[in-house]
Amino acid sequence: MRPNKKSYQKRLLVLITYLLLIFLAGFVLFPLLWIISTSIKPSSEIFAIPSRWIPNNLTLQNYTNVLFASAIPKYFINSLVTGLLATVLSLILGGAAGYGFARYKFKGNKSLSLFMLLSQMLPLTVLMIPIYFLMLRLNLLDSIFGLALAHLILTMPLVTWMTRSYFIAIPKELEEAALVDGCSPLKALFKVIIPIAAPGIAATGIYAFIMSWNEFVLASVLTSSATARTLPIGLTEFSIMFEVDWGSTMAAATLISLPVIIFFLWLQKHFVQGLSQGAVKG
Amino acid sequence: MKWGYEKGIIYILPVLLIIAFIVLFPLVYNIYLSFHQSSIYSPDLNFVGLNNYIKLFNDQSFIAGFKNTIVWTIGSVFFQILLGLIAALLLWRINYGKRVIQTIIMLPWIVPGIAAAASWRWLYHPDFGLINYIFSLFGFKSILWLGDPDLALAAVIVVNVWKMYPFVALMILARLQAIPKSVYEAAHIDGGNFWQIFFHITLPMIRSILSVLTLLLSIWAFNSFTFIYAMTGGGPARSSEIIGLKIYRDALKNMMFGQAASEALVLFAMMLIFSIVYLYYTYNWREESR
Repeated sequence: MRPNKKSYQKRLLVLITYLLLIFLAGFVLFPLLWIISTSIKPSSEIFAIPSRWIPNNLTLQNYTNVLFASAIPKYFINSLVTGLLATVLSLILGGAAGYGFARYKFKGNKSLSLFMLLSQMLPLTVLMIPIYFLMLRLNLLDSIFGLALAHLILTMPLVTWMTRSYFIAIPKELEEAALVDGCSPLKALFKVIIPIAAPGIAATGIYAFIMSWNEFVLASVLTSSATARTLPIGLTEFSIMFEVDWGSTMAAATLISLPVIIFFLWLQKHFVQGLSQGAVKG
Repeated sequence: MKWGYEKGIIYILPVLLIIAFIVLFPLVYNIYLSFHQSSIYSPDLNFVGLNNYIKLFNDQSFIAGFKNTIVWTIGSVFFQILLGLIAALLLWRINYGKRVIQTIIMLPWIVPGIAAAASWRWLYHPDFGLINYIFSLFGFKSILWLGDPDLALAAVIVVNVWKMYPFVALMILARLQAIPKSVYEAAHIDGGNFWQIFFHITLPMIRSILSVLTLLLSIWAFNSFTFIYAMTGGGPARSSEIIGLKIYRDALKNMMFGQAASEALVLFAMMLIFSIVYLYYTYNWREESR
């Protein structure tokens, strides 16, 4: 009919689509880039008007402040140990539960797996006070183990639910074939099923780790000193400690965010897949 | 090989025990706490019956906090869904550069909330913040984004939208990509225009994920804490204090654990009622429209 006008309209539409997307990406990026920009400025330039994106005098002073003159390195180790503990416990126990839910038909399978999903939605604001008392009684306040245990509230249902969907996707016949070949059920699980589900399990584990790494509410209620405080708490304490040292705060924010961003970029594919499977089905 | 045997429970039992220990037991203990009273002067728990609950209805800061929670939740969820939907529809249309843009848009969701809060506080800084600087180029005077009682809550809603709309976009995009292409080809052949196609084909296809997302985001917003705590602390003059913050303040600052526990349970009960009513209506609505 009118091919020229049609293709012109189409091109305009594509152009508008990209412009809008660039605008949305800009909205996402500008706070993140501003963190980095501020973190490499000397204090004279941080408070300079007009603001500049790229500093005249680039400095790493803020980073050396954070790394050598604050408790951030200790908090880094606390965050790492808490995250690893919570992740490993969730993967072993939650992974087993995911397998159980996916493979065995028993009374209450459906309602129990739904219960797992619902328990994840229970607000931390409801749990934070009783968890505080629980840890007080167990003598686990201000301890890394206590915090990791509390983080299981977030990670355990998630890992169970996500691994369940990975195991369901693997045909039962694979295990049955291995059993016919003389494998024990446990050997079939470890030699046949887990290797197939490994990428998904790894992505789930990293997701769990990031949840623990980013978690703020429980960490702020359950920890009170450098013994167990994690990085998110360190960041708030930090801005109080240096009054309004925005340069150091932004340097710390960069250092906290970097590991999760790297993990995310590295495993983005599994992440996106697992998440849309896990959550959409839920 | 039979998969039906009760052996399956062995795999699940450890997780159930842990969940009972760290979720169910605390929930029950919270109910117990809500019937008791303590304060910073007398930290021992005394049984006071329903007293804490009765007090809530006369507590102005609880009522104000509740209103703020409603405003915060509706504002956050509405814009999270709107922006997420727009982003998903745009991403769905393009091929070239899709992966890169999608990756960029996902970043706020992955960055620690507390780091995001710190950076936005700096962006909102009245004298040296980038946002006021940009506004000044257009002749605006310095705006106290987080220091003005009328603006503080809205300013933090912007951050909450920034943080969560990527998640919404990802979920909707996943659903959109599952729609078979043939559906749209048929619609184009029949001469449907953009809006007709959107309302009659696309929207019904993503309705279920939209309703799940609305429920999830509402629950999350209703119970959120970090952003407001880190950006305004509930201020100025408690103008942005939501219930989550009040619970924290009463429990950990004033040692009024019983009072805080009753607030938490009222919040939880409201959320539960909302969820049930919501699920009931969306379920019925969908059944009818079939």
